[in-house]
Amino acid sequence: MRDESYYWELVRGRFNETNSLEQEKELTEWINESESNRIFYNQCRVILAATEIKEPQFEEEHSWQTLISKEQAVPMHSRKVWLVRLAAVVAVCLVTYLFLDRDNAVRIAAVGNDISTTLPDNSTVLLNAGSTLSYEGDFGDTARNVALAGEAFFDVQKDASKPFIIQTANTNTLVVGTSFKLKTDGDRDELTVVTGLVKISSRTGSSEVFAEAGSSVTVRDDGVTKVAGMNLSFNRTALEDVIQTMEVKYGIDIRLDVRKGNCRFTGSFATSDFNDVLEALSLTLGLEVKVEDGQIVLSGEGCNE
Amino acid sequence: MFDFEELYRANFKRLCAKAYRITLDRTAAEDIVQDAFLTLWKQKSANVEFREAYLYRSVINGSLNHIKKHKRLESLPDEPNLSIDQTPLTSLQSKELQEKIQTTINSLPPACREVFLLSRYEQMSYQEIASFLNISVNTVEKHIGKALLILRDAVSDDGRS
Repeated sequence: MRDESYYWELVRGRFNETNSLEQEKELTEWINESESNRIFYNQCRVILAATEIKEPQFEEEHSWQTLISKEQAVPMHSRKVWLVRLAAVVAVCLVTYLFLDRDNAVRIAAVGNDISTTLPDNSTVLLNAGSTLSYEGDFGDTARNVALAGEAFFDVQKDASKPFIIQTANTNTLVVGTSFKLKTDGDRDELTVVTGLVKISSRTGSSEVFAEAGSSVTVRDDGVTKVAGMNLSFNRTALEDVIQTMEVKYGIDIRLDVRKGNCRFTGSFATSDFNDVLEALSLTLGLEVKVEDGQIVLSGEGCNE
Repeated sequence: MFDFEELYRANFKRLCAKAYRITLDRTAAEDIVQDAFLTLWKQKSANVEFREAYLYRSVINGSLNHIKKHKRLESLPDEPNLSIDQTPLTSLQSKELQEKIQTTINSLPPACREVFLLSRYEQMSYQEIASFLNISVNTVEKHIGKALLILRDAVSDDGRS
């Protein structure tokens, strides 16, 4: 015998005309089974009918205006990003090649033609048309900070004591000595590394990737990161080394928790999606992938040699 | 950047109706919906499906929270909207009955009342109610059984005499 909550569902379904034919048939048969069932049914109908509610007119326009005024009272991330982009556009429109002496700051804007320039540390930058680069005249003591809007190719001189940092609206890119191309385009930055190793992180700090020579990275302003052309290739490589390579390549911590540590992995990946690589690894070696406290954990029996 | 106004226009009335059926308070319903949009706007979240699901959940939660803190109103708009085929009622009786049932719903124990309101007004299945409120289906069924017992008692006086 089913309880009353079950039949309430069927009566409600009939009232709202959402019952299937089978449910309608079942309900009718049940009502006809006994007088008490019929009373239950009628009472439920009365409850449903008497709780029908006629909605008032809602003030859509008034509420919208209030909403806008409340939104503007609170400074928001998207508003800021938009302002930064607007500022960048205005800057590009203003000048072709402009040095600003105030505060020793230098701004270089390329309009119409690409511009090649040498920075105080002898690094060279090829600035694409429509792009701007700005920096403090003498770079300061601790780091070489430059700001980029647009697209540029960098060939950075090695100086381990003063990291070279490129800021865009979306990302910070940290390099020691290497050459690469960085393009900032609205809500995304694209980094292509030619030589060396580059670390790129979103300005919000939500993602961070180490990119090696031959790879390219796209960072969107919402923090989503895509890595392409990684050419991950392993030949009887110990699992520990595979994991380490992945950690460096993707900037993600992985914990290995296997009982027997003799696993070796052979294979190369055309895909560069982290999850695909992880899945292939776990399937091949019979490992389980878990996320514990925000860290990826690979666990399993492990392998005999 | 998605079109926030479009999202607002497409969902405002629908969400207000949901909040109103739970709170029976037009101003509160509009405030709850406005808050949900405002929070969403600040979060700048990912895709359309997520946004609508988020709005729905925060409007229902906001409404349930509202009736925990404030009295759920009982005065209903005029023009009772009854269409009872097997239990004829006069217009006067039905208006009285409507208010009596709403009063009875308001007097239900809070958890029982929440479950009943979601079942009646959100057309949620017991499974859906259970996962929405994070309780077991069995508990949902018990609450419905209890609500029906009390409500049927309320209607048996004048509904069936």
